[in-house]
Amino acid sequence: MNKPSILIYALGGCKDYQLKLIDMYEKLKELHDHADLVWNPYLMDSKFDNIPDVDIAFIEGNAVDEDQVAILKQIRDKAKFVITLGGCGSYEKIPELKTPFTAAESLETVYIKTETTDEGRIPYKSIPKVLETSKSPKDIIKVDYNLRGHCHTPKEMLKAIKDIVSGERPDIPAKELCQHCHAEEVKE
Amino acid sequence: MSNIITIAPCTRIEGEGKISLHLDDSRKITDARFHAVEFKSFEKFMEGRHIAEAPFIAPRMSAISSVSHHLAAAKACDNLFKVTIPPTAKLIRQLMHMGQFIHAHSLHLFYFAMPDIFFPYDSKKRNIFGMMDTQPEFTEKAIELRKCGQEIIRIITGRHTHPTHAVPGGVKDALTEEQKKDIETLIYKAKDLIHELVPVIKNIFADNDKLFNFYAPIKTHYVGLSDNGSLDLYDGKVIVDAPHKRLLEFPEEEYAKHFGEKVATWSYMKFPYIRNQGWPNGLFRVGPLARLNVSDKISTPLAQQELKEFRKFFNTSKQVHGTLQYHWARLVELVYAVEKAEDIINHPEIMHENIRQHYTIKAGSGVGVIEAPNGLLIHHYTCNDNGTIKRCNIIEGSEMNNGGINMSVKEAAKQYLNGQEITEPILNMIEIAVRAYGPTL
Repeated sequence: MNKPSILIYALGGCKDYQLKLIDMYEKLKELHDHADLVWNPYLMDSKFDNIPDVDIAFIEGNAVDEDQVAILKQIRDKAKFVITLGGCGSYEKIPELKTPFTAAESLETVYIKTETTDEGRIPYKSIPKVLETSKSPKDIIKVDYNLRGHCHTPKEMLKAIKDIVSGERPDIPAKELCQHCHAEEVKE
Repeated sequence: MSNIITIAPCTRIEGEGKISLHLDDSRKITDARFHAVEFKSFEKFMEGRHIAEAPFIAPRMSAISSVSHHLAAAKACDNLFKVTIPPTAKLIRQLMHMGQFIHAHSLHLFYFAMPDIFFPYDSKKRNIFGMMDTQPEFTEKAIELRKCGQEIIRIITGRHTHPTHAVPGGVKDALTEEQKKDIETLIYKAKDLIHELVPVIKNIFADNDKLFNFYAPIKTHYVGLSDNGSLDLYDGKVIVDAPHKRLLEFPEEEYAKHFGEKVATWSYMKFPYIRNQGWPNGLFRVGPLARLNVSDKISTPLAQQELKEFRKFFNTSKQVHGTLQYHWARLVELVYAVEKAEDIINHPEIMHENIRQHYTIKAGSGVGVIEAPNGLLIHHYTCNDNGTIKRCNIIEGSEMNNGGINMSVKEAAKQYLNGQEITEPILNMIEIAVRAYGPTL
């Protein structure tokens, strides 16, 4: 694969991998030399009405609303490979914490019951409908690889990206640093 | 007839937001809104969890501001259990916090904001890669400065984001001599970089003075922490100032008496306001500009000099109003964060080994207030005898600025959409209003 095109998109989650991208520091240039980052709203002015065809799409997080599901499907149609990043992207982790509660209960607590909210009501206009439970990308679309684990170092991230862009299966440790992440690691 | 143009997603910010522009038939703006489109339910799913977990789960609200969320939750626990943390623990917490300010302010300034100044008309180049290509030396230094901040956090906590180092009653570990030495090296490097970068950035800002003065020149109330008139990012009283007038000064535990939140049907972010001013008069702003506006002075010399120059440039003795002025204020605070980190690492008590105060789990309620890079952050937890969280309330800086972001977006839309053809650079000029606040949605 000659200098492939990539896109990176974050669904609901802790946005850690977006930041990990920047934590490559000066090596971000190296990434740029190895692959054409063509769509990433975090670093570039990439809009939803202009998602390009790409070789590889990296997805962080879980879909938490209907718009994210739609974007994810669009990205699947446009990408040769879809790779999920981290605990939230591959399994559920942080967004999963809300699973014991219905969407209605969560919305009611945040927009009506909290101590400082006055004349609360549930927002609904011009914003996407919240899913009943958050969904891992693999439950919505076909995912080609999971980069499991969490909080990989910038060096590990760059190695994984280099592996994938050179056609190799990414080989980085699926380590778990988060003491509150309980989801069991599933081997492919 | 009304036409709606949507800018989605807003780019070069953390999290997801969009702008809707309502136009009449002559392409003049009738309304403009900034919508936070992702629902976060931390206040619900914290219920039922153990209070001591709060400092470890709360940072997941934001990657950029994860240290502030971590510390606000830890401070809420300290207050709930009525423990006074040892002075060295406070110093270590403040040091990681300064690391975060160096990284977050550098990120917002260099990666998110400066591309707008360098490439207003070219959306392909308007990013950090465009800056790497056209301003390689400047960008390399900017990246290096941010790295110093992130590395300070990593050395203290073992990771760059989402730390677990602060615990109720203090921090987990004292600093080792090796850590201290490594942090000192980073701080001195950051100081050198500040000396090189700040004059260049100020020149760029000064060259764009018309833009600074013209762009969405809004005035609001301002809210921030202050320690007897000095800028303080960790502690202090909450100050509420109207333009040229002090309105309120209160301790953190009284926040719910003074702040209310309105809900709009069209955004997942609420609109905080000052209760005794009513809505919408009580709308206020937080973050770098607000913090400088409620401060008389800064305790470190270089930042104090920068504050003076900032005020002089905008021809005022104290408050500076507007929108893009947030970036300049961010630069002043960036200088402060580096100097404050130096003060902390040289503090005689930084290496003491008493870093944790014993606490007993008991029922109660605790509020922790801190300044996150984008503004005042409040965590409030109520738990039972077993330490199970029964209620949680979190108000964070982006939300505190929701009213201000919407005002700036509307004002910018009025300035740039007055009947002419709508192009990508014009829409970006409106989106710049959002980036000024550095929201983490």
